[in-house]
Amino acid sequence: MGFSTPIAITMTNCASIEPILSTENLRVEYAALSGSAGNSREPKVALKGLSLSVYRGEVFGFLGPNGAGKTTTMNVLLGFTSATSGKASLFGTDVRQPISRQRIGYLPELTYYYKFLTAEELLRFYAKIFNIPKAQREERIRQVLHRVDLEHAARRPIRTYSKGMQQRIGIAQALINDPDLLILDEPTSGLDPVGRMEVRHLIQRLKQEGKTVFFSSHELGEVETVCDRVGILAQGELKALGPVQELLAPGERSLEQAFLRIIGYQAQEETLCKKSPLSLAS
Amino acid sequence: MQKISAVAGVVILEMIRRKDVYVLFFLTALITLVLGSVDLFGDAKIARYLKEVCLTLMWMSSVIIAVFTAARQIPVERESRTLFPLLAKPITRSEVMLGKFLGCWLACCISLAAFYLLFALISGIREQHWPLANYFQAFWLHCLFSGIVVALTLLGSVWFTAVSSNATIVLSCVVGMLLLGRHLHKVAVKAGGIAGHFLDGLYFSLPHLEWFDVRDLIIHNWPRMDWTIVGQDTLYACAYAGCFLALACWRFRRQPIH
Amino acid sequence: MSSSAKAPPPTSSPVPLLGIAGLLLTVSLLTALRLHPVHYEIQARRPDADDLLARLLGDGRRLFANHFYVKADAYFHSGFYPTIFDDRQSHQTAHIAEDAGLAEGKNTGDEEQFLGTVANWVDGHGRNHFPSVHTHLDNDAPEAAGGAEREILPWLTLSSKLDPNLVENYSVGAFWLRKLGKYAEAEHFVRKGLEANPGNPELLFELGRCRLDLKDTLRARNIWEMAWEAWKKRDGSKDAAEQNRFTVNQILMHLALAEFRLHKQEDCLRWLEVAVPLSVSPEAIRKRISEVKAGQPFEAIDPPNAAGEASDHDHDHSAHDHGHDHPHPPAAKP
Repeated sequence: MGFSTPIAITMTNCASIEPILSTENLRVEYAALSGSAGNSREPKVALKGLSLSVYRGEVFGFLGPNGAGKTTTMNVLLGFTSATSGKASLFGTDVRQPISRQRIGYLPELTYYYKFLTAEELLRFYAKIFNIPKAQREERIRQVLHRVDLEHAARRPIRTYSKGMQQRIGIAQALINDPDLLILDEPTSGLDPVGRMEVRHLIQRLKQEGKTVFFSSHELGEVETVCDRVGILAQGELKALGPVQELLAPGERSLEQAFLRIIGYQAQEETLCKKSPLSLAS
Repeated sequence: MQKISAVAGVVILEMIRRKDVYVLFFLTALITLVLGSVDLFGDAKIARYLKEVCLTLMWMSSVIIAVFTAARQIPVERESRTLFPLLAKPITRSEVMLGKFLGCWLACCISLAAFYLLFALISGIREQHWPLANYFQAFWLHCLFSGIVVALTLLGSVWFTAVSSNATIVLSCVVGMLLLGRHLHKVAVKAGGIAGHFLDGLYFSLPHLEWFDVRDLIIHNWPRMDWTIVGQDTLYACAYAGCFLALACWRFRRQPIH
Repeated sequence: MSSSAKAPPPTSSPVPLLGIAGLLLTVSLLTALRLHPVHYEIQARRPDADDLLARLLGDGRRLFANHFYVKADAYFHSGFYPTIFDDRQSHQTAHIAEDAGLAEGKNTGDEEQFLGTVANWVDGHGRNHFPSVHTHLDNDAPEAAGGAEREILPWLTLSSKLDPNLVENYSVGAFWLRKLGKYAEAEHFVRKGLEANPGNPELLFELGRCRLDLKDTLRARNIWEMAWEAWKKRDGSKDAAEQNRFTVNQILMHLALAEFRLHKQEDCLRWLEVAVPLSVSPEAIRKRISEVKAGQPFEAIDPPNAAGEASDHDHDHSAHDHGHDHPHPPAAKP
């Protein structure tokens, strides 16, 4: 069973009603590659009129199977891709304006950093991009390195870091400007249980500090634990939006059950019972 | 400006930490010193051949450094996805492009400074003669040349996805312009017709990179050029580099980053 | 889990691998000892065994020889040189045009117009960036004083290594070495040329000049007699138009000079008489004969009106350069 409109829109635990991340009828189309999809020249629609608001102080989980449009949404929010139609804004500023990214921190899914730089140099570079005054810069670098427990490796090239350390330097760069909004793209992807737990604690600490966190994840248990609200995206459409408890149907005990129902997995379960849920929509 | 200089700083750090420039520098020094040790009729004052070999190697090295440093900037950032966290910051793509240009150009200038220092040492020791103003002119014109080449390569890097194809095309253009730029008009006059007009169009529209190559003046100890000429060359180089950069920014801004 | 699971497998023990490596090293050393004399003998049989360029490039190196020979000429003109794109008409006034075989002696003195009139602003501005004034290293180059001619020598040396049969390398090189006072080096260079080109009259003539400069007039005379014989053998039976009459004129005039210095006036006159039918300007020779007969000194060793003497321009490297006594290589052929 699928949903053409979000099943619930409720705000709980939000410090205010001011949205700091919002999209309105966001539509993104990609030009079809020649020869693909049976030689169809019709553009591929990645997002079909997405409307979404994230409010100050909340932790928002952005869920969906692979290919649902989560990364496209993030790409539009971060200015990597232009929307075909609709609006997207951060802190009330159009995302096409670079200044809209002044108060955000972004952690990509994998660690994409200049491997020839040391942690200190990388953070100094990003601090300069944020125009952090020189007087505060070094102190800020020291603080974030302390926060992610990388002080001991501050002067080592990033290429010598373990995967966990690289993820932590990613978190450090996302925090360098003391952002009000953090956009995390699958922050626990590829981490061991300890790493996942540390990220979860970090998100909770950020929430306590009054930060807004917008993150995508396939770890539904983790989302259930830390999120105030979740949005479930499938085939470019927002299928459900609201607090986890409100998304659960009678008889459902976990977000995973609700998620499978919402993305329409049950209807196809009989024919594709041997496939894993996350590969279904990919 | 701080954002541009920050991007430039990373480019320079990368060049310093890569081994390419050192290899080229030591090869140039080694070949020049080996040739300098050759006994030519017991005459230790023979210097011009050494200057020519050293300058030729310097020019080859500088073209390689400029093209390959600039060609890899945007494509490699895309491929290694370091562009994502960078563009997620409050920086425009034009600022990224300008930072890349500044970084590549300064990196070239730093390596050229080292090369010219080596050249001045070798020629000075051999000739007992230090025409520093002439050397500075040659160095500055060489830097301007590198600026145009870097801008052209950055423009190529937002059109061609593969580093190798961009580098090959730019290298061919640069070598072609260096060798034939001065003579295109004569060829055009001889060719006549549409081909002649086409060649004349190229002659007047392509940057005359050969202007920045004053090796023969340095090798043969000609008097230094008029500073007004050097000033005009500087303006000329700025105009072409600016034009290529503007096109590169325009193209880069319109490209989706997936 | 027992600790034995972490133990390396038996095959990873380094001892057998080291043993094999040691054995192979011993075999290689023994093989090298056995083969070394064989290869040494093979190398010794090759005439160019010690020549790095010959070993690297093989006979293909001759292709590059002319390039470096031309570069020597460019150096003689302090980098001022025509390219294959330069208009023939535009540099008819320069003596380089004569060297290039594009024009006969039409020097009018306006050699600075070598590149022709400025075609446009690009051309005009561009001329500030390369040597665009005609110069000679030995008189009017930016740094004429102090033996700057030595600068052409490396390219002639390189060219001679690339093509040992390009005789001009040796004769031009020897000329400048002599002019720089390096007589022994000049003779050594010419002798190397003679090793590669035995009995070449131009090189024998140059060797005689080396001896003359060393005040060894007798040996110079003997060498020039050999040169004369070599010339007769090579060019004597050819048509007048095909003969290299510039060379023979030089040889005969120098023979006459040597005899004069050895106080053998009759022999001097005999050589001058031999030169008359071979010269394209016999009147000048006859005038010289009458001067010798009148007891006047015989000092000007170069033939008068030399520019008109050269019939074989490709091999004409020497002093027919509108009054200058300096050979330089011919320009590139367009």
